[in-house]
Formats: sequence, structure tokens, C-alpha cells
Amino acid sequence: MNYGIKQYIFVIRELTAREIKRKYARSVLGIFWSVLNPLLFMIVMSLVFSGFMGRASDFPVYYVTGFTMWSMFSTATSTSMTAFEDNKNLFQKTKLPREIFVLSRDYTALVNLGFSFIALLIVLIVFRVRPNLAFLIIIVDVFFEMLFSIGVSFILATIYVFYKDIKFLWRNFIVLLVHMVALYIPIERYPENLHEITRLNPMFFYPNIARRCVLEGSFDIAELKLMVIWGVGTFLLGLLVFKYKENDIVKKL
Amino acid sequence: MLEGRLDNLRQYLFVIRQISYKENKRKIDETNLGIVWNVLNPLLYMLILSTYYQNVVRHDNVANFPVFVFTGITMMNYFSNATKSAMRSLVSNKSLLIKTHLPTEIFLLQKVVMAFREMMYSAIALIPIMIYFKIPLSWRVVQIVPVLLLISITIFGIGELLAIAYVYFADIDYLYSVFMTMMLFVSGVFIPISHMPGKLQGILTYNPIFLAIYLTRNCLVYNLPSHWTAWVKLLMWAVLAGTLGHYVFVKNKNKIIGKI
Repeated sequence: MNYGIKQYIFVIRELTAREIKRKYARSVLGIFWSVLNPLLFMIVMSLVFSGFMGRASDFPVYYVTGFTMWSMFSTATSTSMTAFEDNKNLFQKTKLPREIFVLSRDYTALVNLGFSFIALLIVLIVFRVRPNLAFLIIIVDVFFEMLFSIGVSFILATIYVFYKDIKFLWRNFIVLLVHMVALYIPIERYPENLHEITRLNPMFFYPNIARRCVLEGSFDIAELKLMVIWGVGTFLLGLLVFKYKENDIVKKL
Repeated sequence: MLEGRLDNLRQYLFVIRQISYKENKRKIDETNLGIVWNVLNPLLYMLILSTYYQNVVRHDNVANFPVFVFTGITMMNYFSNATKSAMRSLVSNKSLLIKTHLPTEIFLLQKVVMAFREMMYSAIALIPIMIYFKIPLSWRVVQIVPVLLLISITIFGIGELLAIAYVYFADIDYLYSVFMTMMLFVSGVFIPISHMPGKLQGILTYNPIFLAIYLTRNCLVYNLPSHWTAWVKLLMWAVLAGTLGHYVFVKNKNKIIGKI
């Protein structure tokens, strides 16, 4: 072992800092957008959709919770897809474990989520949502969603090396997926025959667990089981796919 | 004199075509799906949106909801793609802009033309859709020409304003994308605006995207006469956005070259 775990974390941090700097290079507000974005979206969407909820005041909380959880997944997967390609130079020159490039992108998304949670906190205070013990579940939920996102990231990053179209396809897939995970209107407003399939969609239940905690202060055992199974399962699958193809990736790059 | 102008115009068209070609090639290199995707994309939207939101509009008696969604999303994509890429066009063509003596407007125009072309490809899918839903064509189809003309002028004007703003204040990109996400929901793309809160409905009928979609639907799908105020409002948009955009653009165009 040339490197200790501490050094890995250091590298991930450095890569992440670079990522964030680059992303907001031309921007005045910079990372502050991570706080502002969910708030802006919430205000806008509340104007449009509050009529679709039982109690209008619930909508902002419903939306902003779902949105932050959703954004983490969409940013993590779409940015880490190109991680190997973008870091080509480092990839060949250094002895760093190659996973690090994908992990640093995912970690960037997590940092973004941290900032977005500031927005969530503001919304919770404004709408007087009382904190309760169920809030702790959100942390667990974020952890498993991260595992899930990392798994998907590895798969996408591996595919991207061999098949560039995936970037384009995934971007469009994400845009369509938004409408299939009850982000804007509660699942009850979907046609009956779509309920079952929506409930099994990871990008429905990860945000939904968080929404349930915030809005009802409760949890659903079946949903938590799905959370763990999908999180761990996808993570392992992603790692497996990457390990299996690692040598080919090195050759191809 | 006129000869010279025509010559100039021909050169500009040539440049536009070259830039478009280069860009198209890059896009197609990025994906092998190219034009097929342009046709497929709105179809997928139509499928997903009209399935997932069918309950929301159940009581609205929207005839041929999938076609309703298709026309909405195609127009929306045109507006959004054209204005967004026009906004970034000056910064992304930085080197050309500084090195050459091309009129600055060319870069914007090229983006709008590209987006227009993509929309036209998308519209190909409309033919099988109309056949499938047994929608007859009527003489009203010709009304699509002024609709597209007016909305394109509006887009160009708004694009000019955005492009200038973007040079000074890059954050406008984030703001505009939030704004466009909102527009997707309030322009009657797949949720009829009768669902919006009562107070907002009046204001929303002034929205150029809504107007263009409404007029397009009436002449292509529903064969209905459109309210004359819709035509007036869209015309106003084209005139106002066109002149204001042009005025601001011309005034700032020399300054921004230094700024870029």
C-alpha cells in the first residue's frame, strides 16, 4: 500500500474543491447557487402547483425536500459519468486508485446537497415544521441514496468510456425521469396503474422517505427495506462492473 | 450598391452554414443518433407526459391529449433551445468574434436557425401522429407560417437581450434556467392554464410561449378560430422584443467585445 485512506480522502477533497471552483468559474454568486436554486424553484413551483395538494402550505415543503434529494442523484450521475475521460492525464500518470475520480464527483454532489439542506432548513423554519426524531432517518436515507448514486455513477462512467452516446441519452433520460417520480405532483395524482411501478422506482422512494419524515414525521418499513437493498445492491453492482472492465478502460484511454 | 449588399448577405449565409455545419457535426459526433433523435425526443415526451399527467387533466376535456402535449413540447423546446443557445452564443464563439469582422448578430442568428431546424425535424413526427389520431388538415394550417415568423422574431429579440446580459453577468444562466423550468409548467405545454390560480391566468395569456402554442394547436390540431387578441399579443411581442432587443444589442455590441 502506497497510500493510506487519509490520503485518498485528501485527494478526493482536492478534486472536489477543483470541481466546485470550475463549475462556478464565471459565476458571481458561486456555490451560493446551491442554496438559492432550490429556493427559487420552490417559490416558482409553489405558485404553479399548490392547487394540486390537499393543503396548499404543504407543497413548498413537499417540493423542496424532494428536489434536493433528486438533485443530488441527477448531479452526481451526470457529472461522474465523464470522470475517467476528463481526468485522463491523472488517470495514467498517477498510482491513485481509479475509483477516486468517480467518487470525487459524487462527493461534490454531496457537498452541494449539504448547501441545499440550508435551503431546506430555511423552508422548514418558515413553515414551522417541528423537528422530530424521524429527521434522523433523512441522514440514513442520504447515505443509501449516495450508495445508489455511486453505483449508477460507476456503471455510467464505465459505459461512457466505450460508448459516448450514453451522455446524451442519460441527460434526456433524466429530464424525462423527473416527471415519473412524483416530484411535482403527489403520487396520488398519478393514474392508478402507475402507482405500483412508481413506488418501486428508486428515484421515487429515496426522496419520498425524506418527504415522509419531514411532512408526517413517520416512516414506512417496506420503503426502508427497498432503500437498503437498492442502495447496497446498486453500489456493489457498480463496483463489480467497474472492476470487471477496469483493464479495458485503462487500455481504451 | 444593392449588388454589394447581396454579396455581403451571401457571405453571411455562407458563414452561418459553416458554423452550423461544424456544430452539427460535433453534435453528431457526440451521438450517432443525430436527426433520428430530433424526431424521437418529442415523441418520448409526448408518451411520458400524456401518460403521467392524464389524471390531472381528466376533467378538462382536452381532446387528443397526446397531440396537445406534442405540439406544446415542440414549441417549448424551440423557444427554450433557441433562447438559451443564443444567450451563450457570444461567449462560446469568443475567438471568432474577436478575430473576424463578422456582424455580431450572425452568431445569434445561427443559433436560432439551428433551433428552428431542429424543431422542423421534430415536426416530422407530427405526420404519423395526425394520421394515428385521425386529425384532418384544414386551410387553417397556413396560419402556422405567421405564428412561426412572429415567435422567431420574438425569440431573436429576447436572445439579443440575454446574450448581452450574459456577457456582463454570467449568473443569468442559472436564473434563466429556473425561469424556463417554470415556463414549462405555466405555458400550457401539458397542463392547461385553466389549472393555474385564477389571479395568474390573466397574466399568463400574455406569455409568448403560451400564445404560440395556443395558436399552433388551433390551426394544426383543433381547426378552431383563435381569439384575435392572441394574434395581437403575439404581434406586440414580436415588435417589442424585436426592436428593444435590436436597440440594446446595437448599443452594447462594441462594448462587449472588450468585455469578453
